[in-house]
Amino acid sequence: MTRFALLSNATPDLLSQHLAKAGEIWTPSGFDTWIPAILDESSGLYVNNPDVVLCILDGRSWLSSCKTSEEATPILEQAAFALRTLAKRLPGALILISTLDIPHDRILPLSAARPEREWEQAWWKKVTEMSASCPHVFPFELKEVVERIGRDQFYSSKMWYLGNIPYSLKAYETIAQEILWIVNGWLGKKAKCLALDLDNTLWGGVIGEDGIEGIELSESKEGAIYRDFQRRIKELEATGIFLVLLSKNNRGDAVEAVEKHPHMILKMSDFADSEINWQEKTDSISVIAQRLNIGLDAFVFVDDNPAEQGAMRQYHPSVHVPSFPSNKAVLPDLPRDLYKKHFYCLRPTQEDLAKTGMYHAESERARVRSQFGTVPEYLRSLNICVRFSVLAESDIERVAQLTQKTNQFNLTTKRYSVGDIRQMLEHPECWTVFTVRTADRFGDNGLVCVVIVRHDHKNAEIDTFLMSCRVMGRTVEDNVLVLVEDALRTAGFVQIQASYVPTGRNDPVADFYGKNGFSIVEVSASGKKAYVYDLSCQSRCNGLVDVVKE
Amino acid sequence: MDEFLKFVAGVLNVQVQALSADTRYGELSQWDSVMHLRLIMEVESEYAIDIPLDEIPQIKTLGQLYLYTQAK
Repeated sequence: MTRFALLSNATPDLLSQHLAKAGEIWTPSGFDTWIPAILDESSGLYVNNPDVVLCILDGRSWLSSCKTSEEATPILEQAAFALRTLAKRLPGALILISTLDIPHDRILPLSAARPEREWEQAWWKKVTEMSASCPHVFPFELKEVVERIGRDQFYSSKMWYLGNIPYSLKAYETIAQEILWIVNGWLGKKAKCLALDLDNTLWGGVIGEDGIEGIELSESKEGAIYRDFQRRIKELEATGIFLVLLSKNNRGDAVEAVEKHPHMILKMSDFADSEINWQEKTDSISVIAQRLNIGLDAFVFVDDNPAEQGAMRQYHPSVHVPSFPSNKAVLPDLPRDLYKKHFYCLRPTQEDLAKTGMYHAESERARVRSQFGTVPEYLRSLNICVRFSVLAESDIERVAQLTQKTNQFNLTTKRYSVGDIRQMLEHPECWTVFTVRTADRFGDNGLVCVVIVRHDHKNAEIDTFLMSCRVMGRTVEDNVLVLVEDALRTAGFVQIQASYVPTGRNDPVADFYGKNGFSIVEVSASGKKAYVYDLSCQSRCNGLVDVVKE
Repeated sequence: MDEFLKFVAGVLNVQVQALSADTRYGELSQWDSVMHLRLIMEVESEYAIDIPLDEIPQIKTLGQLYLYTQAK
């Protein structure tokens, strides 16, 4: 269960009711006590140690007594100071701070300056500055929600005058939904890949019948729907997801249209992989999943054809299949909805930004593998290079992200937040976190493997051993285990404890330790296996990859 | 009335059997002051009605609230 702390200058009960479905909610007692709750070091806020802190500010009641910026500025300053204190005291929590909406309630001549605008802007600036310097602080775009649903729908004077509740039911529902999507993004509960159809999805019409001149895709009128849809998808890609094509067409026709049509925004190089043929899409998606080494639950499949949607839902229930809008005019809004629901990106890591290239390389590797007779031959041809280091400050987010989303190659599947990993970095007497980056002749994979060792002065235990499945099966894992053994032997440990905890998704690594010479000491009823490894023996070695130690 | 009670049960998150036209505000722990307001707003939006502000504090039972949904 996620632990939320909800801070607000207005009654937050209705928001709490919505969020209660997703976690436990803590709110300070009393009305408008959010600043004292932050400043008091012994307040329940810190005792409760929340995963997520929401600060929802009602601009209207907050600044209603101010008439000039001289009056408003100190109030904003004081709040910003409190929030900076909060960010320092809770370095591991996700902190969302709302932007402000201040309705123009005061009657003023048309010529009068509207200072409300300046205060909204000044607050927005303070929040974005905080977000730029604290990686766990983000603006919550409350103002954008108001703009989208409209002030008349957002505020409810009935609720306000009867119960001091400023917003309408619809407003609270929308705010809660936005928050839950952001929290999912923060926890790494998201899909990785958008699989797209071509005909009547990325353009209007059917390329095999209408030809490159005949399909609908243009700068204006109806064809612009598809161009705008593609623009949004390109932006979605830039947040760190990757795209693949699933189309029933002659490959030549389709590729020619993608590459040569003057108004195509997406080009073949934007797609990490494609299956354009007359096979069933339910088969094609499996082929791609296997080639890119990702699970089917990492896919969102967009296709205008209800039959294709239905088949996908039936054969692969884990693939996310959104319904395609029957009203074409709203098609360009679909990517934004998908983004919030499946791909919310709070702050992309370097690995996220290079994603399409990485998966493109993965697809190439899979094709090359089929040309080599034996696995060692293929592995040698890849020129794999492994860089083994101890956790650096700048890798904390990526390491937390990997613990959140790695399912297959994960021996114990412990999920850690950014705050947890930071704690480990700050306590080197108890924790050592090893990070591994790999590269080969097809490209750089980035940080793909994490080993967390928990130790006291004499015992060392591998708490977590995980690897992105992109690099599984290339002996990197065996080499990394040897590197960990060597590092611990050098540090003076005499044995390593390790365990495998089955989750239903990590079968491929059930015998990882056994196969690497660890001795099994216990198998519990739940299938958990405990191992030890004696470090008094010689270092093992495995020559298929080059190793750089840092 | 049955449909109405079913809707109210969904909002209050209680079994529909626990509700009747005579159920009074304050009788159920789920039906507190915030929920009272929310319930009225949910009913307003579900039945597309607008209950005048000064009549809301006088609504004490589900039966009274139900009458507003029929008045249209």
